[in-house]
Amino acid sequence: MQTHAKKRLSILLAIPLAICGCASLKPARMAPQPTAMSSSKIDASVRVMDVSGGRKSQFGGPQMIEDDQYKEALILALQQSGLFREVSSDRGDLALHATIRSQDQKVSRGLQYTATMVVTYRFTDSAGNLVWSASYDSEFSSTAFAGATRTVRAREGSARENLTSLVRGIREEWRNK
Amino acid sequence: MHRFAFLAAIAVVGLSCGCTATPPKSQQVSSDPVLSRQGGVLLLVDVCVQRDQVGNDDYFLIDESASGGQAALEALHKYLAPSDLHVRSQVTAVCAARLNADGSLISVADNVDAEKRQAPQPLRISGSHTEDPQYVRALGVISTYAFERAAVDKKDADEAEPAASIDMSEFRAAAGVIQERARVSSVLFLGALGTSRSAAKRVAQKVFSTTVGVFTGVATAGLGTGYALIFMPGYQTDGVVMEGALVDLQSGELTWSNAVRTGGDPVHPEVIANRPILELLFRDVMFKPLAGPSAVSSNE
Repeated sequence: MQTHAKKRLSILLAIPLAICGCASLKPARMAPQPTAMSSSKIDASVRVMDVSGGRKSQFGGPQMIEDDQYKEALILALQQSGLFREVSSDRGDLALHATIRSQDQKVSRGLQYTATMVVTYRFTDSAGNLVWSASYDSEFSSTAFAGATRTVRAREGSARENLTSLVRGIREEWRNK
Repeated sequence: MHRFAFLAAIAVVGLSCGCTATPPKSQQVSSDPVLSRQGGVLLLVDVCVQRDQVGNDDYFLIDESASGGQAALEALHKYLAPSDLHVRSQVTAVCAARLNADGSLISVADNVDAEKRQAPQPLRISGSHTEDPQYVRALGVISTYAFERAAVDKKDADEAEPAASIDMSEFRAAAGVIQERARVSSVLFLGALGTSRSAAKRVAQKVFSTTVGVFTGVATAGLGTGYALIFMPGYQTDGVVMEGALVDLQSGELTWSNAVRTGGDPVHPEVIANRPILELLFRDVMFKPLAGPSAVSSNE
């Protein structure tokens, strides 16, 4: 009887773990899906500087993006966009400074989590002059069953939306600057 | 019966989770156009921390308020930096907003360990042009006006004008003085009104709450239900009301305001210079949607 109860308990414990997995933010999932490479590249390489304004998540609370995670996603997004000759964290003609200005999470429509974030991007030349800048406010909602998965998906989605807007913004506005 | 209730609960959770999520959204944002005007911005930080004593012996703390104001100004600068605003002037004040309508003296102490005394407002002020009494008075008017309106719902304000010690003509005159002296186009205001309980007050509150709890428990025991009712009254805790406002000096109007309440003992500067609270407070004025080609995206 006791063995039976133990089995039940272990199954009950295993189910949420199986549903949630080890829910954590993955920069690869924050980068937008690669689209067709840009036909006319911007003739410059970009050095992505350290991101600031990120926050650590608290245990059991909403997921927040940390500086390093966003930097990795930002590099990946720009590399996959094919907009620039080269994108790295070591060297470049232009420096890209990204600041996470705001991160929040709302609960609505039952158990839907909506993650929001505002990021400011500033491209500067080697002399420190501002070349291009923009801020984007993005939000993404998730209704995944497990709360831990829901908060991760919402946060990753909000970052992905923001990076999508950045890529589109550069593509559409860079030459008009 | 229990099994049915459990299955019903699972079904409700499942259904609410299975609903289609709100479509993703992304838009380009920028700070309020009033902040981007050529004349630049004056940052006005006004912090007032009250020491809550047992009885009616409350007073205002000068050094602690000034430290909180300095920390808040630094945090605000850091928060605004990526927006490339032209911050032309800055002022930090301690209790500049009028606490008494008649402008009478208030009870103050230099710090928590110092003697109490009576002093006029503002208790301390630093920044450019603050040696000019007319300018200092004008800053006090702007601060009072912002404090009185920051937490008022616009709809409620339209229905019944809130009781205010500053009228529109006085406010516009003060805005004119600031524009003339500081040569700025707008004022971005950050106000903090904090309450810090003394150790005696904390103990007294806990003792009172526990005593009432014990008495109600004893008094309601033996009702025949096997339970006793315990009521422990709540009490005011440490905290700060943070207020933000934007004053357009060209039109002489307060164009935006907001208020947030947060916990924590405001004698500690980090409670007032709280980054997430600044984000919450200034979000609407710093990140206004721009109409344009990248206004909306939808990338699943």
